[in-house]
Parts: sequence; structure tokens; C-alpha cells
Amino acid sequence: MRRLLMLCLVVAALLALASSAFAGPSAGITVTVTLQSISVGVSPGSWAIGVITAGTLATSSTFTATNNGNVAEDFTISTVATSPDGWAPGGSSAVDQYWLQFGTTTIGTSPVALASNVAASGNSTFSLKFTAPATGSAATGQDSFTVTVAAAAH
Amino acid sequence: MPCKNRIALLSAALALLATAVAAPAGGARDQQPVLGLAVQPGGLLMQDVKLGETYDLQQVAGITLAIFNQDGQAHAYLLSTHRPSQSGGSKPPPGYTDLPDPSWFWFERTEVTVPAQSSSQVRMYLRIPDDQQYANQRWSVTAGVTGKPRPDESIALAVYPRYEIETVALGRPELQHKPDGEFGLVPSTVVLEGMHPGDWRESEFYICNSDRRGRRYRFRVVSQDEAEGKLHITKSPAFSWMPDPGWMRTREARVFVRHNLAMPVRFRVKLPRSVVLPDGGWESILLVTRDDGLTRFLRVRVPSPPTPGQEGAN
Repeated sequence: MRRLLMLCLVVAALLALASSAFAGPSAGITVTVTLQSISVGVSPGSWAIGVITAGTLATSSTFTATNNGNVAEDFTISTVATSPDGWAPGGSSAVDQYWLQFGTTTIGTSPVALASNVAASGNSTFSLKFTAPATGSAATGQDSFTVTVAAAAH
Repeated sequence: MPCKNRIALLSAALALLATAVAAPAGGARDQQPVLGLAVQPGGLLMQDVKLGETYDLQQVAGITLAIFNQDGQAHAYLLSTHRPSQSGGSKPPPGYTDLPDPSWFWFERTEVTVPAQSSSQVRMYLRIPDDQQYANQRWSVTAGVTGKPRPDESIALAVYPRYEIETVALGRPELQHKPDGEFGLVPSTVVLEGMHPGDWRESEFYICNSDRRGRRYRFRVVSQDEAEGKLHITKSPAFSWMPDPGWMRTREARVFVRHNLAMPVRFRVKLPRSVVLPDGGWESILLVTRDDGLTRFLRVRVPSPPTPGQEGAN
């Protein structure tokens, strides 16, 4: 029901935008809205790794990123540490440095391609591999990071 | 587990919990609800943008950025603008380049919190500096709507819609400075007023080569299918696509322009006798491609002549 309401909200917004699509010229500017919806969904919506030993690997179950928009989209993925201990992502496991990958691709703070030209309503699946920082890293008992999945029109 | 033992365990093994929920050691607990994020508009073309004027898109066109949070809890989103070539968004379509300074396009806020299963509207603004080198430009800017990372959220979403900006078209006599960038067309749009079926008209534009060396340029009029499909060029509102690219042709198929010079390019539009101009008129796209593949395009408009009743109205 909530999803239906949300869908109605999006459709209403599209219609509102359509009616204003050729609103110009006003004050000299002409504005054309292309009726594109850029939208992305990810399931499951979180990943709890649990307690693991320094330097060891944890693998997620499969995530599904879905193009909920109406045009083909490219997906990218990046990560940022939100931990209290100053960990950072890197290309290997080291002191205060974690290593996050999908397949053999390292995920860092700059977005890397996850999937290209995903059709509207299409999806892409991926798994994440996390290698914990090495022994000697700062740890207050619980640390965290965020993985961002982003969408843009193809 | 006693507190001391717990601390000992954590010092021996780095504990990483990606959510606030503690999971069994070595286990994964990731059957969480779906996350969803959408934005409107996903695409936008702003044309005839005057230099030095500040535009509130809600005020001039009734358009705001709508952010839809499609999952079960409130999220904060960071709003930003970027050069398309330097962001996670899509690259500018042919004929467009990065907006030189992304801060020329901005939002009323840099952060917005959207309740669960709800949406928020944010105003958008545009201002191009009052500098003649920025006339006749076609630029792209990427808007970033990024879930604000929180320690209790392991997955966040972001979307990067790309918006196109076309500044006011000014002819060479009106300009004292060459266009910004290494290659520009002056004017960027040519309007052929008063044409009727059976008429032909010649006009011209200049190619300005600001590159360090001379360059060759070739010309091609594109079809509607190619413009809308492969090239992602949006036609100007009120106009229809010119039905036949063959109605327009340049005098030369290609030209060489020395560095730091501008060269006129003449072209001709001939309308068949049997056609009827649509309301608004026709628009056509002339693609200008440099020898290294860099592309700009000229919009050529043939507005419908005013009907007899309208001619004396002004």
C-alpha cells in the first residue's frame, strides 16, 4: 500500500512537471523538462558483518540494485568510513585501512562502475567482500562504513 | 558476557558492525528492507540564459528538485553540483561541455531530510557571470543527491541527474571577446525569420578556434532520430524537428581554421513548396566536428511566419 502511495506521488510529480515542461520563455529563459526519472533501489538495505578477526575476510550475500527510473542507467559504487577510529578504505588490508571489493574491483571513495546501461526496471546483482584492517588498528569495539550505490542516466 | 571479557575480545579481534544491530560472530544479518531514492526532474534543458541574471527555476518555470525517499525510514541527503566529467554522473552529450564552475548552479539548501515514504522539494538557482565569453555556450552540470552516511547505515543511495544549460546566442558584432573554450560557434543559434514554403535563405556563423594550433572542422546536418537518440539533443520547445536534413547544407563540407582566428561558415536552407510549417516552426541541428572528434552544434530555427491577423499586433 505504501509503495502504491509512493508510486502515485511520483506519477503526480511527473504530471506536474509535464504541465510545466514548456513553461518558458519567462524572464528570457526557456526551460524544458525531459520526463526522465532517475531512481535506484537496493535490496537488502544493509549489511551487518558481525565480529571478525583483524585482517580477515567477510563476504556479503547478494545485493540487487534496481533501476526504478524510466531511462537506462549506469550504477557506480563507492565507500566512506563512518567509523570513530579513523579507518579508511584502501587497496589492501593494513593498519587502520579496510579493503572493500566487489569481484576483483576495489571500492574506494571515488565512484567505480558497478553496472552499465541497466534498462528501466532492470537490475544488477553484486556481492561485497570486506577485509578488516590489520592487527594494530584502532578499534573501540564497533566500527562502520557506508557503501553508496549511485545512479545516473546512461 | 562480562564487560571485561567483552573488552578483551574486542581488543583481540577488530569488531566491525556495519549496522547498530549486533550480529552473531562471523554471521551476516542482511535481510533488511529495500532502499529506494528517486529525483525529478531527471533531465532539464535551460536555454537563452542571459549573462549576469539570477534565475530561480521555481519562479521562472515552476520547477523544483523533488527528492523521493522510497524506503521505511527518514534519510538526510546532501545536495551538490559537479562537473559531469569529474563526477559519478553521466558525461555531457555531444556538443556540450562541463559548466566551468559548478557553483553557478545551486540549491537553496545543501542538505535536506526527507521523511520515510515521502518527498521534499528544493529550489534550484542559476547564474552565469556577466562576461561576454560565456555567451553562445552549451554546458552540462551534474546535480548530486547523495544519502548522508551515518554510522548506523551500511548502504546509502545517490542519484546524479544531469542538466543542460545554453546561454544566450549573440552574433559576432555584439561580442568583443571570443567564446570561452578552445572551440566555439558564434552565434550558437541562427533564426531565419519570415521564411515561407518554397523560400531559400543563406546565413552564416563563425567557428572560433582558440586552440593552440590550426584545426579542421567538418559539418553534418543530423536527423531527428539521431539528434534524439544517439546524440541526446533536446529540441527547443515550441519548435518541431525539420523533417528533412537535406533542406539545409553548408557551402563547404569542411574548413580549416588557423589558431586564434574565427572563420565564417555559410549555409543555406531551402524549404520545398509543398510543405506547411508547423505551429512554432522548425528547428534543425548542424553538427560541427573538429578533427579530434570534439563536437559543437548550431541550432537553426525557421519560425512560422505570423498569420495575417498577428502581423500588425505589435
